[in-house]
Amino acid sequence: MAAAAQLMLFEMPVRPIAPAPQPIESPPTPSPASSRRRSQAWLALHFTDLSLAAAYNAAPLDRRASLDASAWAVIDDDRLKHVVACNERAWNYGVRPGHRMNAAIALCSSLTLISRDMAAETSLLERIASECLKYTSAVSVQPPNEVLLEVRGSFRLFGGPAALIERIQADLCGLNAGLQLALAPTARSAQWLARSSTTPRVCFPRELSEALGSLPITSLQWPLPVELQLTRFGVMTLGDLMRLSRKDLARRIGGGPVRELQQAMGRTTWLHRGWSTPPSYHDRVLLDFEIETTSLLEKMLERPLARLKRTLIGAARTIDELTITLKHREGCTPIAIRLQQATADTAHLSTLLHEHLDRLALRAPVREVAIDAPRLLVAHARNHSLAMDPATRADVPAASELKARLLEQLQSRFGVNAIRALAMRAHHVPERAQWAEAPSQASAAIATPTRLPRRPLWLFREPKPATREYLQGAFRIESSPETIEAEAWEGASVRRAYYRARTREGVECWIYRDLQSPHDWFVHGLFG
Amino acid sequence: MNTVTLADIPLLWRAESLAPLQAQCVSTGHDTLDRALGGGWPQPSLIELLCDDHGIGELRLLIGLLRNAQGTSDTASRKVVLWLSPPFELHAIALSQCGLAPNDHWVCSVATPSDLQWAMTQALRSGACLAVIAWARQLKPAALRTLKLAAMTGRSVGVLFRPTSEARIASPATLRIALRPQPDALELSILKMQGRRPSVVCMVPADADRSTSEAK
Repeated sequence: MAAAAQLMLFEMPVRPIAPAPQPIESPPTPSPASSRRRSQAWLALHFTDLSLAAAYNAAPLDRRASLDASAWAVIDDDRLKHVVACNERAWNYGVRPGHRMNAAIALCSSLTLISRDMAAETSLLERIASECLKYTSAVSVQPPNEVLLEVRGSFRLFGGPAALIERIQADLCGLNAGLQLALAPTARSAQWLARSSTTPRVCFPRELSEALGSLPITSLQWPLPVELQLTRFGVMTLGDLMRLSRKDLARRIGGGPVRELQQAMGRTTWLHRGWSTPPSYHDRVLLDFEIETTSLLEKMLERPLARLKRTLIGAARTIDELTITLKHREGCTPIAIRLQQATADTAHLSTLLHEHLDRLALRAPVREVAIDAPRLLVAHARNHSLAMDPATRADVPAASELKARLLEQLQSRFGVNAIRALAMRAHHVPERAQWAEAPSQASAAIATPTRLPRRPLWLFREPKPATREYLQGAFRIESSPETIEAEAWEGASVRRAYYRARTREGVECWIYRDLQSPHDWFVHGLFG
Repeated sequence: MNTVTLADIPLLWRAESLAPLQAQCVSTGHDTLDRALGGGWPQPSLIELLCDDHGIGELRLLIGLLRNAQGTSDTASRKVVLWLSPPFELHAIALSQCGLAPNDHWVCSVATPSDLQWAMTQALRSGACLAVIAWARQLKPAALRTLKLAAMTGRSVGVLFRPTSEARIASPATLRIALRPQPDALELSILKMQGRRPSVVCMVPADADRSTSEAK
């Protein structure tokens, strides 16, 4: 996961990319037979140096600087410790993938060796797959180092195959994982073409057999015994292989390669497991330096939040809860943001975060930030109203959404329990007939009150004793008494006679005489 | 004999003929006040009510503003009324007697003046609030201007209760009314109303009682 989190933040020196070839001719018009089944276009992304990129991203920062300056290689965990990948410096010394560790050290005595981390590679590949969801919804992960995209439906949006390939190259070049691309009518052929050529290849349906025919067998990454056996036959290219009888071939080299060939030619289907967004989101950002101010922290969080937004929008997901954990040298500070309405709008999230950070006093410098969304919910596309705000030319959001946003904003500054809505309860005693509840989305219809005498708008939480003022004649009683009684089993034993009274200053009060001790008078509210 | 009145002189400019600056007004429920304000509560606006005592009828004044707009859209898209640090508790039954839904009234107690200003600005700007009613003192003119701009942005009404001692301090509010209780009436002196002249209105309590009994 650590490697994945660094995907966009820290970029290795960029290698030049070969320009994407312009398609020479437009794809042939589909024949009536093929139009029944929609033609497909598969884009294969093959990462030759995925293990290198994963190891680099997993390394701590100070180590990265030393890696940049030295020759290094990733070695496998097997007995002979074969070199899996090496950087350009090591390559110049003559180190090649497939060398044994001893041979590599013999070629370059200062070679830094890093053991392969399969988990980091897998998570990096999944990370790439998630990023690729923005190009198409049909993404398939092919371990160890390939991602397949079905992009037939995306051409128009991205401006054609060449533009799409260029865009993908530009987006993934920061990773520096040795990206090789190929576009072909079938997934298997795209995969093979991507493996074989370092420059992007575009293969149209009519030239498929020709393009495949020229591929050397060695570029297909078939098992070594199969490769050796085919070399013994004198089969050097796929074209040679296609000339042989399928049945005999299957008997001699096994059914697997033959089936793959059939899949590449589009004669049989190849079923993929589609990649979809995981049910939760986790991101971790290692900081280059310790951060001590919240304003800087806020600035730093912009990019991870943008990444979260890309993931959410790409996968059509929303979140209703987000936890940002600030990790210090010792201990950590969690910031939990709970939303009233699930959203993918990180601009709103960052305003909420601003409120949280504004109140937060950092107890220690922050070294690392973790962003976790415990669940990604399926986004339900809402119909927007045709009405536009004439001032801003933007959609008018629904009132419930505005309310939820305001509530979230106030709650993130003043605490979850700071905002209360009024609610009524059936009870005779006035102070028990109402309570404060958490504001809800649905607003109830206006209840028609039962026939009660007029009640004051201001109610004192505790009735204020006013016996002396009453005896001094401060109140002028303006109504007949309203007796309110409640028994002990209702929660309070109460017997009161309420009056509307006016003071000399013109303040209209709601006063009562306690019938249990008939000389005591209280003020219980004001007719505001 | 032909008499020439002042009204016949075309070049004479009369103060009453000021173009109404407020496009939209909400009736206050009191005819005299409506007339003095030129139709009712301006909307959107920032309204200042200056009063020292509580319970003199200051809330009843606002019922018309709150009821009118809440009644218009009786669906889930109803806007809320936010009360910021009210001096006492609001009585839910009394609100429903006035024809308001208590559910739509949010109460928030805010400790510091800066928090109050922030909360009011956000609420006014959000567009989710029909009105934001706050009790504040010693707000700076810049803060008031921010509040007014926020009210204009969110097309809502901000109501500020301030002590009468601050009447002399200039304010950018759309409307400023000083409330003074008289033995049998409530005297409203309109200190400032954009597009109109200052005036004094007296409201007798029977007037207010009638308006609430109409709601029933």
